[in-house]
Amino acid sequence: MDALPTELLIAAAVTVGTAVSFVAVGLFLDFSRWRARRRTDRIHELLARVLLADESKAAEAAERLARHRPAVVIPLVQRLAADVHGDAMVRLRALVSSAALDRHIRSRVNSRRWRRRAQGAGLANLLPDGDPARTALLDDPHPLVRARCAEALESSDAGACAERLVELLDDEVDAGKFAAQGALIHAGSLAVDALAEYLMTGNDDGVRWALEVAANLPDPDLIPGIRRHLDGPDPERRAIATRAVAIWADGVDELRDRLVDDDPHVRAAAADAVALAGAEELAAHVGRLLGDRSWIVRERAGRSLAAMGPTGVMTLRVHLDDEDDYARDMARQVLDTLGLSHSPARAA
Amino acid sequence: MAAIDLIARISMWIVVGAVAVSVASQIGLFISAVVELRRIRLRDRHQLWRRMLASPLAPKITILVPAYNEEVAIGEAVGQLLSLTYPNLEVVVVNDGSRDDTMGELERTFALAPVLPVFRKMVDTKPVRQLYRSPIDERLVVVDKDNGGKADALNAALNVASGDLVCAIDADTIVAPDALQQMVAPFLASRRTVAVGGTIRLVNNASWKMNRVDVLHAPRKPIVGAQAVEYARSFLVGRLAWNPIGGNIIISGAFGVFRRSSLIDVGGYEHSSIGEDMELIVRLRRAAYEAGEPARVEFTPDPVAFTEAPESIRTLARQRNRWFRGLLDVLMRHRRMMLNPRYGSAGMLAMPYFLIVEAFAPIMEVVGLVTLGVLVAGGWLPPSDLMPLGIAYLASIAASYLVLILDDLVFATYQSTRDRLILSVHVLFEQLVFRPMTTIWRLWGLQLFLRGRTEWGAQQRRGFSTPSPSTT
Repeated sequence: MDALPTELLIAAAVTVGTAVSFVAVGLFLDFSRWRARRRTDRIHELLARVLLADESKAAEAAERLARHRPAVVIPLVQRLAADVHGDAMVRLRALVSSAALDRHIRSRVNSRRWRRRAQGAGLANLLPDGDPARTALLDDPHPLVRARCAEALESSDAGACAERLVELLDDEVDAGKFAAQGALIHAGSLAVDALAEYLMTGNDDGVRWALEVAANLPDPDLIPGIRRHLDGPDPERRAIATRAVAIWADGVDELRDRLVDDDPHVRAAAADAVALAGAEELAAHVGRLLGDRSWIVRERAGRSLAAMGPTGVMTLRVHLDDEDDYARDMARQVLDTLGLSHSPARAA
Repeated sequence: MAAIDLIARISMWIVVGAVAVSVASQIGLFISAVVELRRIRLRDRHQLWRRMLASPLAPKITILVPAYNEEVAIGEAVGQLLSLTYPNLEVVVVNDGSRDDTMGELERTFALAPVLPVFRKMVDTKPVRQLYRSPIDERLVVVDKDNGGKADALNAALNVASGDLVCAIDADTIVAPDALQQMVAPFLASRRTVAVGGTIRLVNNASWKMNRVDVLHAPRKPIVGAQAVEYARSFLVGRLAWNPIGGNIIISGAFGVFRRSSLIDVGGYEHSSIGEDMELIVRLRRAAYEAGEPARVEFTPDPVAFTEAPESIRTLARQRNRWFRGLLDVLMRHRRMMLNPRYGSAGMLAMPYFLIVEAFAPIMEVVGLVTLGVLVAGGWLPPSDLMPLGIAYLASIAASYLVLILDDLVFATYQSTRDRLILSVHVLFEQLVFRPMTTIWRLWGLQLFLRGRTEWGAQQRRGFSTPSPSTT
């Protein structure tokens, strides 16, 4: 038999080599992952002790952290930071500082590459209180870095930067808007002044996003701003403002007006809001929406009445004999769901 | 003799050329994929978007689930979708005129109640018989309609959907718990993003915990193992590599997220296309280029969904010839994009790539192989002259191992030496047996395509919770 050509042998050797490498690299990866897991468990255990007020371990923990590569330690510390608050967070920050990890975080925050700055933005809350680097990236030229920074803000920082966060509600990418919304809600009452002013004066796309924040922040100072958008020309804003109306008690008149709005989404939002505000005096008005031409309005009206208790159930029963097919059907379905009516479908 | 010698040489170089084109493109895409992976890892390291995507203000996603004869798996599949951790979710299941008890199974499992089928018909579909809501979970909507095919079912779901984003999946797709969070991120990062796809893994031999995929094991059956290797290669290299080039024109029909407004603007899924998932992406991109605002189609490398691979040759053959007919159909429909600078990287790179590497090369390969086989069998060509062919195939095998190494480095899909050894053998099977088989199925698809056949063919489901004998 002729000897195999050298080229074929080389190709075969390369192929066998890659096959062997696949298994060998896999073995190596298994070992290194096992080692990393073990190391991670130990660091976690130590950090947990320190965070649980065992100050005696702080020096040892800082020394241990400093011994490992920042690329290993920083993700661990960051994951932990997402779940701790108060004194534990203060201790964690002190630990980061004494292990000299803050230097690495700062280098990321100040990097010329946006992806590294994005990493830094997520880590900046590990820097000490009052450190300007914690919020500096809110003004970054890259939208994703701004978004990361807003997302990672502590509530105190978010309160201090509320005006900037409100500006971000009209940012160029949705990530920035969502992050700013989250941060403003997180800041709670600290963000109310900036938000109220924006709702009173703003007229750009960010208003829609600001109204959503307002709908999640029950604060009377926001009412004038919300009211301003209830009668506006944009149905989307009217719908969100209607939901926000439900957070204060004297919004019955506004809700009544919105229950007969031209836009179905506003009527649906109004039906939701009636239940949320517990405005039983509007039950009959909501009942009329059971026969609305839009399914979403009928469905919301039905749910709203169901959530209202006895008054709502009574209204639903009245509509079981409604002349309108849609209203009858919706009332029957809601009562079926509540187990309060007999219908052939349920009996079957 | 001279003529036979010439035929032999031409056949040889056709086969070697076909395999070489395939290997060279794989290596090029492999390098691009490695660069893209590094870029994504660097961007996402330490960044979880946890708070933002846990908020009820997160963009609403409607999952569209077309179901045809899925009674075995539908209840469990929909239950799993409703248990996803995404905070603002809606699930629309469309029973596409199933002949089995899919609808009954849904009614029993979710205590469905009929509601009047009123909704805004933005995309044309076959008649809707009834719309159902579930009192158990208000996020679930079920549409019962006349049979019209997968594209029609997805369009019906699109009409009912209320989310800003829609996620199209197959009824048998198992979605990872945090998959939607990962898929939404590219939409938040750019308004130009119209579609996002993710890596899909095979669950034919997986361990389950709490009704979720826990650990993936290398499939024991060679026919499934070969598909596992193929999936790893096509998702990790074939799709990810197109991200930086901007040439992604495929999002798997088993799992993809879209901007609903963009989908409606282009008229939804195309009923008459057999490769409706690829056709939709190409149409989305084409429309965006023609509107002067190029759209982004992103691929996220993280495994986001799991599906069952066909285990019978017959089902697999039908699937592959359907895929090939779908590819040819898309290339034919959108031939104006081919090498047209107006359509950017999609027209200048992706379309020619799919035409040459995915459509032409396998056909040339099989024609050349058959000719060579005849010549060797007839004694006109000594087997020793087949050396270039051997080298080309060995290079192709080596390329597959490289992809598996990359997959192990990044995702650790299979975590035991035993699984890796089994996969090593599957690589050989895939290259030496499975690949020629798929080429034959493609030829079958080609002749059906030329005869204008566009029907789907059925796939037998086992149901995910029914463990196969090899399931751990």
